Amino acid sequence: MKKDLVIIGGGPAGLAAAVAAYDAGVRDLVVIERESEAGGVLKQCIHNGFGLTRFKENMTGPEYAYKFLSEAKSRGIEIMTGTFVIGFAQNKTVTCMNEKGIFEIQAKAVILAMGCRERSRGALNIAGTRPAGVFSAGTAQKYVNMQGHLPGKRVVILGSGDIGLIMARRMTLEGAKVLCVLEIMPHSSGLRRNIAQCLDDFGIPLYLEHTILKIEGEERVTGITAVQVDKNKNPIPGTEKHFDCDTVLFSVGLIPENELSKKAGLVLDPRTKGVTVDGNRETEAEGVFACGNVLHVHDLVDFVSEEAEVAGRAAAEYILKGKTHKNYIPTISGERVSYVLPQRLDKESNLPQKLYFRVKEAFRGAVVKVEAGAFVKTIKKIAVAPGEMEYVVLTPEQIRSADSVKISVLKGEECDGNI
Amino acid sequence: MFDVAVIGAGVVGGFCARELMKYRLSVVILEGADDVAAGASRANSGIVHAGFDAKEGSLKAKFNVLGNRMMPKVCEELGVGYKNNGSIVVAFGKEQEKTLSELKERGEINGVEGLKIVDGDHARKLEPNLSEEVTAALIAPTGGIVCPFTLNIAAVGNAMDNGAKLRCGFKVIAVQKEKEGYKLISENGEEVFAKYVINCAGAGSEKVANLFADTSFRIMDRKGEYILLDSSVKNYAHHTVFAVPTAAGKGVLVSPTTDGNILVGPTSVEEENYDTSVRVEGFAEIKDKASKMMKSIPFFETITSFAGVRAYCDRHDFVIEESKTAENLFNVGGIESPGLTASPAIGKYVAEKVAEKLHAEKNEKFDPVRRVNHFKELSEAEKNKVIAKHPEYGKIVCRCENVTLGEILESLRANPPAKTIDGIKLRTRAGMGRCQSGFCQPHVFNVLMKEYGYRADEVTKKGGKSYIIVGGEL
Amino acid sequence: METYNFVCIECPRGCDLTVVKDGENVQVSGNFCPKGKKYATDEVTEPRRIVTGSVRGEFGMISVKTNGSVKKSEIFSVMEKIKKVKVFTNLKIGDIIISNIDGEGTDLIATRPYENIAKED
Repeated sequence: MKKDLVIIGGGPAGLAAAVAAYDAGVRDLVVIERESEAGGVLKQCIHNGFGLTRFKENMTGPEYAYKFLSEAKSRGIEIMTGTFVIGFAQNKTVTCMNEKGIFEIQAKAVILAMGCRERSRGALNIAGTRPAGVFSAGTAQKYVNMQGHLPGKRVVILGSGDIGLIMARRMTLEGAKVLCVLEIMPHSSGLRRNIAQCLDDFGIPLYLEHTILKIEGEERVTGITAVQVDKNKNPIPGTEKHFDCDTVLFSVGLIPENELSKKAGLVLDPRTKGVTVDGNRETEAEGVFACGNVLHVHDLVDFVSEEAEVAGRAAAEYILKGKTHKNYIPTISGERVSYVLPQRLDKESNLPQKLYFRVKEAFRGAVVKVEAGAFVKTIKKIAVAPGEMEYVVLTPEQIRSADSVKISVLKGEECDGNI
Repeated sequence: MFDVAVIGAGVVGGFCARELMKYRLSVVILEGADDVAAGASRANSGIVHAGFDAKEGSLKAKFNVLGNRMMPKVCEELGVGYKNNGSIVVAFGKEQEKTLSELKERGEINGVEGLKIVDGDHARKLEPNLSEEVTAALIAPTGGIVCPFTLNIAAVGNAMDNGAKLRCGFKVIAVQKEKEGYKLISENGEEVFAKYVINCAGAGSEKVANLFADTSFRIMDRKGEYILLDSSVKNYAHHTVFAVPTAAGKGVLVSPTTDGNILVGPTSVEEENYDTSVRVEGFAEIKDKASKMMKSIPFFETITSFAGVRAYCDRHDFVIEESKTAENLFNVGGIESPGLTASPAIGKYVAEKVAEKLHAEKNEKFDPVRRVNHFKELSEAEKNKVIAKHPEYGKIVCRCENVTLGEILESLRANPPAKTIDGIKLRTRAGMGRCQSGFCQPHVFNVLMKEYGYRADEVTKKGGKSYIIVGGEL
Repeated sequence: METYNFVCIECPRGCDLTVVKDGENVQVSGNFCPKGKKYATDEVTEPRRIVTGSVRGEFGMISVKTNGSVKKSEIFSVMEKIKKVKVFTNLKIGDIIISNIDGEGTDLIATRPYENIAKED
């Protein structure tokens, strides 16, 4: 089979990329979706708070997903559900498998939009037994929201990621007692408003600088021992606290699902765990683009859609106009910045460039400093936190004269008089 | 009345039963847990030891070497992952090099073929990530790896395919001598009658022997903890790399698994009670010891950790003998390392002895081949043929290990059938990958509900009361 | 006179709101937009929340929400009603499942389409 554009993944990124590519003139395209229905993880994110940035509307996850799904359907974009991509190569052959068999699609361009997965208990070396009742927060979310089963009645949550916070509220509403949320870092990794509306509203304590020392129970979880940690995340003896519980949820981070990218020989950025891209979200392989959580984990789907549209339009341009000359400069993560995406920018591009970045620590009174050659600008922020992605926008002119773009985040007092 | 009851559906019980089916005998396997491979056979290093470690003249040495030779054919018949990847024992300095020579000598007496000692540089050529500090190494080309729990499942399955019965959840707690044989009574009060009993109860084998008033051996528990790394780092090591053994055992090893992961461990902890929990100190010990043998082990790719309990015997050797005090009882106990390697040979030996005792004739109909689909190993064209006939083989359920719905359904039907989330995991690898069942568990859960007609609160992780859902329905 | 501090939940910005309440008189500061002011005022007078959930259909779960905020004190009584309902008909996004769920005119609506037919996983 031949296609101009193959999009791997029918979640919010894949759907938005498909619609954008269609609107930019691509007609021969297909979205490959492994589940029986497109929409990705949003289908199980039944809470509200989506779309506020993009649509100025307070939508639930399913509403947001179906909005894009109906946009795709109204354009007649083919979505091949129940189909799993088992192989992908840089020459843009995509090998798929579904109930009809194994088949290959040769594409002119490919957009990677496979999303991410949750880090599991196993990755953390948590001591203790391996009973039933230990779930990734998203797995519990699927049981509750999609299948209607409540995993347990007394719950401890490790990690203050947004899914964990959302599940603390969700399980409370369904009658479970959430005993506490433990966070190893000195700050929450979730959105501030989720602490307010998911924990504070229900009086659920959040213990910062705490982790689970040990999980107990042979058949089903019977309890956990929590412990406070020091600056190096080592348990502090004597601070152990025991909780009787039947369920432990892990909300300890998301990892881009780049198994296919790795198979194709694309190199991953150790900071984002995604492939490296330019402003068009084009990877090091010509005609292969990536967007959404497979590229870097976003905290808001609104930005996933936006990024996917950049990739969709760029893929369309590549298909319709062919390869263009690129003149790359790198983006640099300066002080207190854990990563900047994209990793490189094309000086020849005529489009404004939105650079996403994350800070390494949470504090109030921050100043973002952007240095692009002679152009330097500073932006004041009331507060920054690793859990909240930030961005700056640069014009083509600002980039054109630069050899690199560096983003740093300074503490207010460090730049008094210099702003 | 069965001719033979095998107590314990671990790998040893499985092979005893399978080998017994080569004779005209009726056999029942009694397993206390709700699935086979519940004990040490499920959680161990998965190494096919060459046989240089066990003391010359011991049962360990004898059955290790015999089992090592049998393993390739057995694995082929049973369709179990096996690889002859070779073992390397690394030495640091003169003192340990002396031990290497002793191991080589001992191995040669035991009948191990092809052993040789090389210098550190040579060893690093074979295994580039070996520590620069390694001064010499013993190479054992007959060393290999095997998937321990599939070997166990397949041995039981093949026994069942040839007519053996399996009773899970049958924990023998009492025994009554009958006119002919024994009445075995389970915890739930169920009864099974058998003329002859083979005790393969692993960590429980002393207790089972005691039920027959046989107190000839003692069993202690020794826990081993492991760390498993993702298959994305499978090229990190190709051989099984051992440290020089000490009194406490073979020490920590680094080895590929047959499924492409890297396994690091085990520790060795004496336990009062049977306990498979992993300790914080365990992680530190594994990392510390392994990092002395090999360079920059990619522990950041850890996907899980686990512990297994090895049953070791006060005789410091295997117990493989007919009971001297109880009639018609055969004890197979203390089968710690190299028990997995030895298991096919132990099964063969025990079955021969028991068949002789019971004057059993050969079963000409015995089929040694376990006839299951190995969908994963098929070519693309063959897979397409299977999918055309059975579309469920085109539907991926476990995205990390690419396990299809067809394979999962097959695991519910093939002997011994899976009945739990972990049962499916052990048979198909669904949930064994990097996401550790985060995505596929709710799907597998639905399959179990549908196929067995379970209510949501009846589905278990590993039998017993290990329910997945205990909070009720929305 | 009482002073309260809140994190605004109206959008991901999460403004730090300060409310000074003096009898009927409420002063809000720290808000970036009017939604924050309303949220803060409600928080000290009568806090309100949108409730979302999942109801059982004959052949699967259907995600739902209240089409406006309900009194925070009513959340669990709204949940009780959500738990009791079962759906046997097709639904479009926005279709009302329980009307006037809070006694103040707020409806419970579907947030996903639902076809009342048996389907594979």
